[in-house]
Amino acid sequence: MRDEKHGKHIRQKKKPTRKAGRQRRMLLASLVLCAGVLACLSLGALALQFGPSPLSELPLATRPSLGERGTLPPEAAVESTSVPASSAPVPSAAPTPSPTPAPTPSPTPAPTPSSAPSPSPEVPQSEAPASGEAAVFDFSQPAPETEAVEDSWFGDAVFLGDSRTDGLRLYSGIQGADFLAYKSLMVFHVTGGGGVDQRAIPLNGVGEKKTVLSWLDGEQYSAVYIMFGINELGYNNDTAFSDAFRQLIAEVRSRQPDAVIYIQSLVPIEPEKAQETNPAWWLNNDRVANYNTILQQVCAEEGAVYLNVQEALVDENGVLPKEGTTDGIHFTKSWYQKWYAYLKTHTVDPDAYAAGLAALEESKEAQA
Amino acid sequence: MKQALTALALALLLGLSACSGGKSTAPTAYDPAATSKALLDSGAFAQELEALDADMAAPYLGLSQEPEEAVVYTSLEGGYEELAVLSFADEAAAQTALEEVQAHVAAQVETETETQYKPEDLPKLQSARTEQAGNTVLLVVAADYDKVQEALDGLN
Repeated sequence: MRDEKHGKHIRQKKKPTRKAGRQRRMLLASLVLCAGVLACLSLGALALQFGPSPLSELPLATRPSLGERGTLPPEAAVESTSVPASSAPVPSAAPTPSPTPAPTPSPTPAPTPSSAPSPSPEVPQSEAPASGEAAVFDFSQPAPETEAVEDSWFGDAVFLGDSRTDGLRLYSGIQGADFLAYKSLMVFHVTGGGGVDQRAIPLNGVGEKKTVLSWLDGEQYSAVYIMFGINELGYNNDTAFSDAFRQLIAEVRSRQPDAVIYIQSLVPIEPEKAQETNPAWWLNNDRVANYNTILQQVCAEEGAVYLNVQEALVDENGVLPKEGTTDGIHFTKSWYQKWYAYLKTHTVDPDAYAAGLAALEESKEAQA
Repeated sequence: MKQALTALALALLLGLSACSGGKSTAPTAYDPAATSKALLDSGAFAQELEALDADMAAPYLGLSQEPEEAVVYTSLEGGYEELAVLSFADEAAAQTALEEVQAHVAAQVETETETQYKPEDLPKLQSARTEQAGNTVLLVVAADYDKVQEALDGLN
């Protein structure tokens, strides 16, 4: 009753002032409208003044945090398992300065990499005999210089390696080839030997990750180029390095029976710059030369082409010149292009390669 | 009362349309050449960078569409510092590219976390600047982001 009365009272009271109230409401609405327009104009002006807005920068929600994977790097695992008793720090990726205060190796201004005997220019290997017999590649010698192939020749080639090989992909101008190259990748990450697990990596640097051998299961190539060793220098275990390469050649051959397998020599470092960026005791050209000797021996015994790439990239003293590197380890763009040019002029005919393999097998059987 | 609400709604509608109109007309795009030069000259990078050939931009960054114009520099030292300024046909393509560039950075973070290759570069990656401005996309992984900001401010 009271409410009804009250309502009546209100209605009765408002009735005479309805017109005035409508005017007040209209005035209020106009004020709100003006304020809104002014505010938006101001915002527009601010947006123009400050140019590109950082508001579109989205948080990278998918970024894993440090330590999220919860596993030690394989290098650390190796340290506790397979590295010889020497107190050698296990190398992480080459550019990572060793935290251990290692004795500074005396600078070796001109360590001549004597490991790779230069091919005899008088008797180039895999040269087709005049009689028309099939050429037989001699695996005990580095691949000789040949006529340059076209860029398209690499369209069905694959490159396995570490950050240096990734630089070849990015800067040399090579096109069409596949790359299984990854920062700090070692031969042990491919074979699963040396106390480390196989590492999953993306093909051509992007997307899905699989082990190198899994990638090689899925595609047939005519040439497989391999360069590993810089990151393995600190292992101080020549046998493990040699065994891993022998296993790698066997694994690749079983998956790529028609491919020519090229093992590229390690390219020496530039000692001064390398010392600045990575003072690890094991990073020196004597050890590079030692590994190149091992690689050539493995090639001769397992039937892989040894490519003496270093001869195109070092100076008269056998070291990587300063102008060819920014950090003593990786190359400049023009040096990557030199590397690619060398590959184009050192190819091996697949038939000569196959004949060489057959001859090698015969030789092994005869010795057995 | 009903009339007041109607007026208020009208005001909001007008306001919103005014705001969106202001944004779309803003000159929000990065010029690849000028932006990359300003950034390279800013001293924001601690590593030596080298330009990729333009046709390497898409495969390197994992882009599904070729940019109309691209300037991409990456570290010659095996590090993670890099910059990319990409121009696309329209904003939709740029939006897609932005997501792909962010995926690229996330992959780099994952790689470094896994390999411990350049631990000093991880904070740079975690602070990577990725943004879209109109039909362009910017990516910067640098050592000094204050200098990056100064360089970008200097473009306006």
